[in-house]
Amino acid sequence: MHPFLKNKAQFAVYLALWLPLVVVFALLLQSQPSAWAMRDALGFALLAVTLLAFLFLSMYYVCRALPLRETSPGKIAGVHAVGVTTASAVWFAFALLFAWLMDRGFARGTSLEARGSYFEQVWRDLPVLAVFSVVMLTLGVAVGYLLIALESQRETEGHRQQMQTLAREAELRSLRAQINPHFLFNSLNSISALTTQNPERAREMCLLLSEFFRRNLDIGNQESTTLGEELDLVFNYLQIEMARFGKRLQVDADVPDDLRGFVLPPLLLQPLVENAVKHGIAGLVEGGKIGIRARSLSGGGLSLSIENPFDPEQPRRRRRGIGLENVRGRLDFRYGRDARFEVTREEARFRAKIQIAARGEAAGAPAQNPVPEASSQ
Amino acid sequence: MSISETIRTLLVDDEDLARAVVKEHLAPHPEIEVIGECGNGFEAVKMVNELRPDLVFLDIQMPKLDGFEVLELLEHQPAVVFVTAYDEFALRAFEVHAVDYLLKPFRKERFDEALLRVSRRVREGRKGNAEPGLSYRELAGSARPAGSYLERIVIRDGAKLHVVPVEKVDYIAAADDYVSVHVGEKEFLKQQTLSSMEAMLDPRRFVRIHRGSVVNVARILRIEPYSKDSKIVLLSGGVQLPASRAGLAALEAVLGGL
Repeated sequence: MHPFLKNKAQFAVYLALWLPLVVVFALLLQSQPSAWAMRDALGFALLAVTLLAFLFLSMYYVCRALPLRETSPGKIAGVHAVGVTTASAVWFAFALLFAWLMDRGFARGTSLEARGSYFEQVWRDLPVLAVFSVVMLTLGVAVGYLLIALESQRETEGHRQQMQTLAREAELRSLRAQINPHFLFNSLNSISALTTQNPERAREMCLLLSEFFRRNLDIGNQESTTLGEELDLVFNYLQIEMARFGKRLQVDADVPDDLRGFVLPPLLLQPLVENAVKHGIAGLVEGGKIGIRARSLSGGGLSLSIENPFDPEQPRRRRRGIGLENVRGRLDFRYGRDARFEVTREEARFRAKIQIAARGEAAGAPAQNPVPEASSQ
Repeated sequence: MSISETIRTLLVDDEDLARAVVKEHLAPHPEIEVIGECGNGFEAVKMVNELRPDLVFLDIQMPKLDGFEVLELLEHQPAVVFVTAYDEFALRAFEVHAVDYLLKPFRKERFDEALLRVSRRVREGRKGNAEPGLSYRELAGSARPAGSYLERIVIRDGAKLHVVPVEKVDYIAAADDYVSVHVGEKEFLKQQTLSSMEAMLDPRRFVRIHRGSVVNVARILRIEPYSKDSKIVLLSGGVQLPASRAGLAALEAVLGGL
């Protein structure tokens, strides 16, 4: 569709721009020796100029058919000459028709006898009209090419932006997929202790750790995952940490089964749960409970919250901020304004909440266009 | 005390399994006697001060107080072996004269090597050959990684321990060999010089406005003239502190012009 017709407001502005020409055209008609009645002149000009405005737009389609770079200049000149001439001819025909209709009684100002035939006048003035229409329609061709250039520029810009966004998201995700080395060392230390104390549990820990690494590798390579898969990773991680922290680490998960299929960018929950352990539970003598909750939002959205107690006297560590920024950044890239990320600290409780309004794209499908704004708005 | 005497040892780590692995490695060494274990910084300080062990295996990242803060609060100076998964504290550990620094997980050989160092240190201590040196209290405070500042001040008050986040401090005043840390209505005494305290605090947040006081810039309400040469700094709690000319210049540098 023509870019000007994509949106009503834009089209109205376009037509309004032609209004001064209606007046100029009407005044031009009036200044002729056998003066037109002002009302008739305006009416005729309005019809004729409006028609010209549409013909002007049609030039764009001719331009589309003749891309500047791929067509020889001769062909461009030739085709546009034919186009402009044809459009002009159409315009004359209608102008003559309007004049003829006005002569047949649509004009009420003065009698036909008193002012002479409008049809004859228009016929007489055809050379003037020809100059007018050829100039305007040639301008139409120029504007057409300008619009095409702007459009293709916007397209490449949008495409580049989208590519950048995807690349950045992948980068952030790979950052997240890097396993914290201290987690690894502490887990291996636990295994080292268990090998003599409880060989069976030591083996179990080795398996849990391998599973965690494998899942983490897989998920880091994906564009999207499901809530269920992400939770499997999270619980895998928590089981390992439970071996370390013993009774100090408790988990209370409340995730309805029907939400497990919700499609998400991978590694959104994992860093939040890791934070909850590292900056929450690990700093508490008695430990505490990590709450993981998922709820559906009306309209098919999803709400996720991770809650944990923390010691308010513990100085805030910068690392947590980086993890949170990472999650926020990735939600932003993927969903724009359709996702919200909130962090609250109340007394000794920390809560991170993710809300995603739209139902995520189908599993395995490429990421949806992350640029939230349509260009026409 | 004779050399053959046992080395009384305390284990401090917030993970049961981490303590278990240390205990297991200690088992073949009859000269080591484990007299207690605990899982957080507060308890560690209490137990060291009560039990006066010869050796402490100390984790760094723990609830309440970290390993370095624990050292700062000790009345008694045991030999310390840090046991941690973090290698970034090693330099600091040796700055506070730790005997050794074990990275989790560790080998038996490496652990035995640490024990060898421990018995050497303990033996020298008992012979009275140990260099008198600085106390943990002084060392722990000054051993900070470059560019990082104190986030909280730990203070021992008899049997009680206080942890004061620095943003809650109004000002710190010199009082002989002590500093008094003013937090709202409360005042805590800590054995330290004002200069060493000043050096540990972020200079963008704490300014020495006078020979006798370091003030939390965020608490300053206004500055009023006092005499020809001096001014008074008014804090939000109603406290008035004199400021010297040099102190005002330092404040000006932080606040960006008065």
